[in-house]
Amino acid sequence: MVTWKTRLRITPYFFLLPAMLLLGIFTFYPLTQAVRLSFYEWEIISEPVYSGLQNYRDTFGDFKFWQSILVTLHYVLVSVPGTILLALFTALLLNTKMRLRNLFRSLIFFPAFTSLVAIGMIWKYMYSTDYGILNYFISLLGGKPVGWLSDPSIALWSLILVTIWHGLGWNMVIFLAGLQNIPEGYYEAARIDGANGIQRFWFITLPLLKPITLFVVVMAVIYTFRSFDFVFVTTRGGPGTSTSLLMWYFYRQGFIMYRMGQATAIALILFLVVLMFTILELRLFRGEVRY
Amino acid sequence: MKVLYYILAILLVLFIFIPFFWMFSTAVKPLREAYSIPPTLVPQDFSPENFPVAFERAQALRAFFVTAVYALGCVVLYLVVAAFAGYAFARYKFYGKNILFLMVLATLMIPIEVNLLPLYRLLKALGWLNSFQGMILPRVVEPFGIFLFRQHFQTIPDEYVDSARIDGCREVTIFRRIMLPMSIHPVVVVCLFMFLWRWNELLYPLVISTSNRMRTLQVVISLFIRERYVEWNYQMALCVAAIMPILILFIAIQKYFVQGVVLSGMKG
Repeated sequence: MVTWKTRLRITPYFFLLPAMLLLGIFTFYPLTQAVRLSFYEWEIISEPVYSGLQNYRDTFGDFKFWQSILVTLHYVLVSVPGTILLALFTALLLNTKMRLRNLFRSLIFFPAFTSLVAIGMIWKYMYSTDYGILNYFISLLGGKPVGWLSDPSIALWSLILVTIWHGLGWNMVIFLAGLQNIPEGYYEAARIDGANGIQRFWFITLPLLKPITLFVVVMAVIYTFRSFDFVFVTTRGGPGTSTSLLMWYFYRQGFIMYRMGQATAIALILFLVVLMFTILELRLFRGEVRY
Repeated sequence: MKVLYYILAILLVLFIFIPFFWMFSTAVKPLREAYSIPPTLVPQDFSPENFPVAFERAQALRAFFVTAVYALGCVVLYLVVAAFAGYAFARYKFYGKNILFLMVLATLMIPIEVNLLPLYRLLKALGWLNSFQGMILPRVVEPFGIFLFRQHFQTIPDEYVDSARIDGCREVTIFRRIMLPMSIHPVVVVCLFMFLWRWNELLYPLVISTSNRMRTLQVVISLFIRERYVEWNYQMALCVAAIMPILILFIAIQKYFVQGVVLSGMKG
């Protein structure tokens, strides 16, 4: 007969067992292997062979890698602020009293949950130079056709537009929740003190949204750095290397060039870059997010 | 002022919805109409037969089934794993609790792409490439649900548990009979989000299951495309099919979608 006390002592481990087993076997063990394999030369058919820092040397010596870094930074630094500003604007707009407000919210919210593959496909079709609907509208207005995905100076911007389009709803909902958490009393007090709409926004709404904005920015940066699906279904890094995001570079090295050891090294580098950015953002904002 | 608000709101909705409209419209057009200039906004020649044809060509029915097993398998296992773990973290004191919780937290930081190739190797060694267990088991654990359940179980008053313990209830029975029935909300949110993630996922199934019979819908759609000449009507029919289950869920239980997103945001 097991006593009540011992039972209480053992039970939590029993409850944790499935999670810990799965985490151990399929997350932490592979992680150690990832670090190890990044020092190995490994092409799909052969067994991995130790090659020291060669994978890292190859990566840092590869012009394409540095291009991918630039492309990714451009992509992240435009689409994250773009998404978040538009989402904040949308949330403010749809937080005012208006008819059909809930319908508008739902319609804008929905794309956040549809597959990136399907979204990438429909945009690819709309972006088509010869028969895409976007160029058709442009031609109606008398403009020349735009090579949305085929012009190297435009393709990345087209991807950024899709990214903003897709991220809008998710971030809007988080901002809406943040807005609804601000007590109405603050606004009333400010109104009595004679603050106008802009002042109320600047001195009440914005400061109180700061913690949530920090969270949204951090998550969006992590998410956008790792963006893969759109590029995979639309441009595959092209034309040239104009949309070669780091995740695409990773996929290309690993599954098109079959340099799997190097791909693992690239994934680790990407991971460290994202980690650095996250810490930087937290540092930048942290001092300001305390009241 | 009010009018301006409405105009802006409607512009935003149009911006979001035109692509969807275009997808649904193209999905029921014959091929020549998908390429016609000027484009026809509403299909002139309504062709619902695109769906069976596209499914036939892309072997999408099988893919639909594979994706459903993958997503639902992950959901069922995850529910058990996350509820158990969240319960342990919320209601028990035990040795190593903080370290174990930190480990769960740390997995938030480890992206799948880092583990992708080692997992490929591991599954190959186990002979699990192109198998459901190989697809499902590595993708079951996400911190989100564990956090959510932990938070939820912390809010349930001790009295419920204490009286049951005094009555001699087993711990598992307490969990099953008392805790779970009070947890409909987190259960739905956790199941829903796991389903959405796995249903929509591309990179992992793309790499792990490469045989025709084990491809997921997203993988099939992304590989169905041929470069120069794309049969956009069939392609869009497949996309509509991939979105349909989610659209139905969204219409049925939208409030849980909102809850999940908000909860993910509140942890900041």
